[in-house]
Amino acid sequence: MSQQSINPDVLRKLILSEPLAIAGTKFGDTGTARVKAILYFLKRCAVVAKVGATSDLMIFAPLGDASSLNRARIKDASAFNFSTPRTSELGKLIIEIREDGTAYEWKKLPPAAKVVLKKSIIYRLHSCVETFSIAGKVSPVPKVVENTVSQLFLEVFPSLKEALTAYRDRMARVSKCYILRKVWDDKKRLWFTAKPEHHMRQALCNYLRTYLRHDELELLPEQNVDETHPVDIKIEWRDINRAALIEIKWLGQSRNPKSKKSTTKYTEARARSGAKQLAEYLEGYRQEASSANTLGYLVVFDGRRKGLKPKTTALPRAKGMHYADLEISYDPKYHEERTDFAEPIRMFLEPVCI
Amino acid sequence: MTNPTAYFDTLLLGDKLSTFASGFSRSELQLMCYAACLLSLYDGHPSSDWDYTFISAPSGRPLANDVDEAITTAIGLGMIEAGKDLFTITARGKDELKVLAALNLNHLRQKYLNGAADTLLVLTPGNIREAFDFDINIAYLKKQNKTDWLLDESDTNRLFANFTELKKALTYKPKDLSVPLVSWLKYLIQTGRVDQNVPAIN
Repeated sequence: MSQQSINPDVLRKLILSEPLAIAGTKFGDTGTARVKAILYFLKRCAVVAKVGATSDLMIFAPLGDASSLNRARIKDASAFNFSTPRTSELGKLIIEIREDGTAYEWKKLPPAAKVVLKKSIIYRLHSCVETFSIAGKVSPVPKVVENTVSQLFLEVFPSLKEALTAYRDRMARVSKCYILRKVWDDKKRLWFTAKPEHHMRQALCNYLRTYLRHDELELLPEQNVDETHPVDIKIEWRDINRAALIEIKWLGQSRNPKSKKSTTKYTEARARSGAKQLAEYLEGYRQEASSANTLGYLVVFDGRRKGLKPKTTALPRAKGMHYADLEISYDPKYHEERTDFAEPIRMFLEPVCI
Repeated sequence: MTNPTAYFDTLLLGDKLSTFASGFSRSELQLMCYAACLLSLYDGHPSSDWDYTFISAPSGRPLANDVDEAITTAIGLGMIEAGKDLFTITARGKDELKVLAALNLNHLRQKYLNGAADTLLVLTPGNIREAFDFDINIAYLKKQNKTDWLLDESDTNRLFANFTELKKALTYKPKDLSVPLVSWLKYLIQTGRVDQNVPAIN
């Protein structure tokens, strides 16, 4: 094994962008503690509330005397309620984190707040951009997880079904995920590039790695249940002796990126054959390999477009979205016949329509 | 007999993970114990001071048998309970933790355990797992499908050297050890992702 030498420039750059370290450099341990008080609030808040594209949050933690707010606080602020879940995404929210860590939600800030804010550490989420203002310098929150509104309001899922549903609705639908964008051969998302399945597997794996809770989860693309039956993703939860096998199929048309000639066209028959394949995998797995409680998931990336011809470069909405709500009918319905076969999940990938 | 230190670590980190992450799995708790042990190294202590040792599990990730046994003991005593998907600490476990946290012998390690747990304020459990997967020793053992002792002399020397660089890069000496650990984990993610040609931290 070789030594892991450090790149000091990369390390220094990371530290210079890390709010905990910036606050510590400027204000010592007190600064770090105030940033942590904000982070702690966000963590607790994320249990009862969600953020979206229109959320506008300002959380401030005064570093000095904030007694000038005392009178206004009685009238215009109240202790943040962590016990009642909020049904809709947060809109405008102004929170003061007091010295003892308690969080007060302000309806509006009084003029006296201007002076207090100048001596505060301030977190903001506005237009999906998160920043910390520390000693008057505004720095973006480093993005460890791509394509999220917030790095600090991340929702992680204990169940695979929830994670897959979230991926379908938040990422796949408009190809928000950066790896999934690679499946397309055109900007209008009408044509898949040739052999897009590799990117689909990779995109889903990456998402589950970050968002799925598990014990000893291994996402291993192209696992072999036996020599002839590949599975796309295999996940294990050893604590509860549970495993999941995910088979990925895609529907739509692919084309060669250079010649632009159509290479493959898959209709819903492909999804049905995928279901049969998965049922066979599960049977093989049950008989040969595992005492684990295994559940199979068929994930279908659906990029079908009505009226797509070799020279089509754009489609009206009615044609592009024709398959958006058309569910696939499976026969046989393995998900009803087998206890180890979950209901198939179809992820319709929307085109960009005129 | 259950290792009392591993038992304390299990309750403290179990409490933090229940608060910050709605619960924990065995492997997540193991990983946080390992992260806390790294902070003890960062603070200049030899790995032998940690009271229990880690091996690499078949997945390549750190595993301390003492911690595994402590989790089982804590479940048996009703200090931890199994939910549908994750474990959480019980009210009884919280009471027991308060008593144990007040003992002198558990005093020093609390800053390492708290430092490790507080990384969850910034990173998801998946991020932390990803970071450790990029550690050169853990990645090597995983690739070789080898079970071996972690934090042996050469591994410890390597980490001491890395942490010396980390201390130099931090322009102050934080009492709160989540600061160097968050920086270290992000560094592992950043460099690991660049090697894998996927978008890094920006």
